[in-house]
Amino acid sequence: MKSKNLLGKEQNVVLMLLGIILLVLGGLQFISYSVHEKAFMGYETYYYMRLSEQYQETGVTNYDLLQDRKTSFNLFYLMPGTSLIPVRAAARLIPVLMGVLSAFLFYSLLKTLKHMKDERLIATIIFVANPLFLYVFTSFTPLLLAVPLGLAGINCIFRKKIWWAALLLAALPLLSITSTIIFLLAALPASLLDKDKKFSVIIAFLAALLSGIASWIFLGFNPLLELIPSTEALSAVFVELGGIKAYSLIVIGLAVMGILISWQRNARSVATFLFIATSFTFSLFFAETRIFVAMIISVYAGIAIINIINREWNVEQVKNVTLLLILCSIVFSFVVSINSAFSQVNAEKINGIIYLSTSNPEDVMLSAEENGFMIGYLAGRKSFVDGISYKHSSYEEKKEVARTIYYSRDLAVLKETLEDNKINYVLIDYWMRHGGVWTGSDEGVLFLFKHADEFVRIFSNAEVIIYRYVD
Amino acid sequence: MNKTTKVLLATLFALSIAIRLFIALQTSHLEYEGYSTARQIESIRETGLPLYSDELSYGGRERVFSPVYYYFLAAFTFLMPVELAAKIIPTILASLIVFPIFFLSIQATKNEKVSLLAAGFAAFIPGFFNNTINNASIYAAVIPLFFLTAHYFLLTNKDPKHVYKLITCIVILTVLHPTSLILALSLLIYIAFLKLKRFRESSREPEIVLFFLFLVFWLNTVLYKRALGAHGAGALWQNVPARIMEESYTQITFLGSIYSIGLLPIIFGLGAVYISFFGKKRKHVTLMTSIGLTIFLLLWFRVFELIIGLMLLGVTLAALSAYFMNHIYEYLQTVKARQAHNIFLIAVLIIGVLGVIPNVFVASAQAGQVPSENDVALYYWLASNTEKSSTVLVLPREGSAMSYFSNRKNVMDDDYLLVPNINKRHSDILSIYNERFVTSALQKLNYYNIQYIALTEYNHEKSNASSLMFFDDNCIKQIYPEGQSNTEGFTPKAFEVRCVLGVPE
Repeated sequence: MKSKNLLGKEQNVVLMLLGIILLVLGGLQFISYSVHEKAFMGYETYYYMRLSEQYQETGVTNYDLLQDRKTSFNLFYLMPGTSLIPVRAAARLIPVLMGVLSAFLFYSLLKTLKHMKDERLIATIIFVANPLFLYVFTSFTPLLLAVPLGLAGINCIFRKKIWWAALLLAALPLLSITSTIIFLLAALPASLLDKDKKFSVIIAFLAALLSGIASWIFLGFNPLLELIPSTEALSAVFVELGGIKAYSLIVIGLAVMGILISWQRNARSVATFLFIATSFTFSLFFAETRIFVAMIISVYAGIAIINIINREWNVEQVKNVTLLLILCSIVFSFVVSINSAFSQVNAEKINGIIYLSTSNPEDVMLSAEENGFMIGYLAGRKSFVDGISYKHSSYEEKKEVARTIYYSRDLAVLKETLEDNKINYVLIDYWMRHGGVWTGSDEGVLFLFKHADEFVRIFSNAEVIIYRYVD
Repeated sequence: MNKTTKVLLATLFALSIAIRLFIALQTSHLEYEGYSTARQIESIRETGLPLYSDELSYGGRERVFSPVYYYFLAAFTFLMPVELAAKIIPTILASLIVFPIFFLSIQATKNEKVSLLAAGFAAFIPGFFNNTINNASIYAAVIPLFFLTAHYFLLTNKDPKHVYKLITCIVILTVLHPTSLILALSLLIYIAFLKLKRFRESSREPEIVLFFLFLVFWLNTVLYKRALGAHGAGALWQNVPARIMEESYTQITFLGSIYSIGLLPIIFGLGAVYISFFGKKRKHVTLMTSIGLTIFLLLWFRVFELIIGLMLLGVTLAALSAYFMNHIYEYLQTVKARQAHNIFLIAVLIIGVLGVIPNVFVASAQAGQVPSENDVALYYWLASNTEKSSTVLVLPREGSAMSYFSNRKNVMDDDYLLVPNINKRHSDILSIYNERFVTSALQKLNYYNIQYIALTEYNHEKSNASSLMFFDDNCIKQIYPEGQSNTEGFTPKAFEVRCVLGVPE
């Protein structure tokens, strides 16, 4: 079947696409800044900003001084830490630049892999319209470096620039061990299909392995800590079903179609399909790897769309409406993910959390796990649990303590639990009050907070209520 | 189609309407489930908008649903009262099932006699018949449209001029109810079966299936965005409380399930599947088998309540049964015994009619499961003797009816989407009536901000409770009936909650 020229002159389309990405990502950062100068997208942003600043101030990279716990060394902390611009500015600028760079590298990888022009353009459009792309390139996390680095590394493998590939992939384990696993898995089917690339893949493997071991020994890099799966990840796989770091169901559906089409076209590489299945399953437990799987999924979704366009339909109107529905669905999931991202950017919540900085530096705050990162960065206070607590052994115990406090109706037990765990403040946000923890205004400990003299409401606005425990 | 068949088909349609209406009009009220629809219709009539923001449901909340069915019913309320429109229009819609099943059967068999019998099965299958009378159920509209869409899907394959009718059906079904998802999945399985069974390829079928899949996906994600966000994949289960879902499966026995579908459709339907798999290949039977298989799989995963699955499964088997009946009919035409084929049809007709008669009585008895006059009197009393913003506790099934008559907030009704902690709420409500001590009852009553408790005849029938065990004159005071009731037996009661736990008044 002869492909139609769907998208005009390639160079212009690519430039236009990169321009749109720059505008969208930059626009989102501008909007979040206009909401509040300390508002950033993605809760994890606050965590990595704090650790980057900690490195800038103290030079410590493998210990979280505020939360008083071990943390893994990460090359990412050094990047804004040693640069000339402040971390807060880097957290707005770097995601935009890396987003544009990654889109370009993804496109050029598809070109290297000899995908047809329309196929690679549509795959790139699907990739950048993906909720995962939006999440990764609006947040400030190590994935910002891991994605372009991995893409550049794979590009070098396919272009047989062995030593460049080894150098780039050697840096990858220092950013994200799970991403390294996915990238090396991706290189495997390629090496099986093309014997020429076997040597490049082996070198890349060795480089990544050696750098991982060396940093484990010398830099305090902890691969085991990195490999603890998130319990929440499995419950939020699709953006349409409320996930944030999640796949778009429509793109997954199109990708399945694309895989079936590739299979029918005799492109029956068992290794490739096995890799897709393995990496998809892996990504269910490690949400940070989903961006890499999204790249592969976008390629197959692109194949499906090209097939729908090029196929001779009995009723042309049905084809047009079907394409329109696909477009609407992709736009819908994109808009849903923008909404989810902005639901985290809330000036009133930020003001509430900043108010906590008036407390004593040794005070411990209890709130939802997602708020822990914000409390750490914006108020500079230790939170009882945060979004990374699940990687530490005391997590289950802490979760049980939090549950006991939230649902307590016994003042004596509540006081004892708070004192044992040195918790002095409880920050309650809108989500916690509306189904996240409680559903009623007097449910559990909320009743005691209202009526017991031991608790003083020190701050409240539409989003946040803060209670202080007065011993 | 010959004239006699047309007359017989019209008679079957009229007979279905007549019997359904006869049963529905035995009582002046709707079944409890019907009042949720009645409230929507009334809201549309008064404000032009359905109750997306419902101040009475669950004490006030946001709702997600497709308003198409409610607007359709509301259009008729300019000609008749709300309750009457909610009785008559769904009756006509449900009776329309005879047409798609007849035409589907004709497509498969070219035999008008067996097609009429299959249409008769579909109209009077106990599961579908009993659950679409007097309750304004949306399934009365959805199920006929579901099979009409299937009919046009098969027809489009032969004749492309039907494609626009098919697309119209697809769009209406999709905007009407998420049941369209079942048909979309069935068509996907159907395409897989065609590949497996090496049918002659048709390019039109995959195109329509693709279009349908994307439309169903997009419209449902847009319509139910909030529910999907709130419940995740759990939205597929409609947030039905686990206990209600469990009861819907455990209360119906294996024999009960067979009864709901009907013995003849089961035997003939399964016979058709057998012949299709091991004998002649037929697209019609393959499509119906795919629909049956999809429903069976979804029932396996308990995606919907058993009775809804049995309704759909019953009509599917009725559509399939035509093929098997025709098979026997054609075989009997070849045997030596003359008229054996006609005797067979007469025997099926007699057995079918004999099966329908007791079911009409069962349906008639079920139609009596409406709020009693005494309960309605209590609801009206609450309307004029309580504060407008107050919340009244009734059983979840009674929630919509109470809010419809008394215009007061309920704690729970039968629309569960977007309600957080639904299982806890459901078990709390049921347990309040069985509480022995006022303090533990007050904890829950205060938590749900309940000011009045209604103990209705319906509740009395269910739990055999004549009063509240924790009732006292200080905190929980009986306010209805005013003074001592002189009537024998149980009288509905209302209690006022006068205390707040921990904060003495």
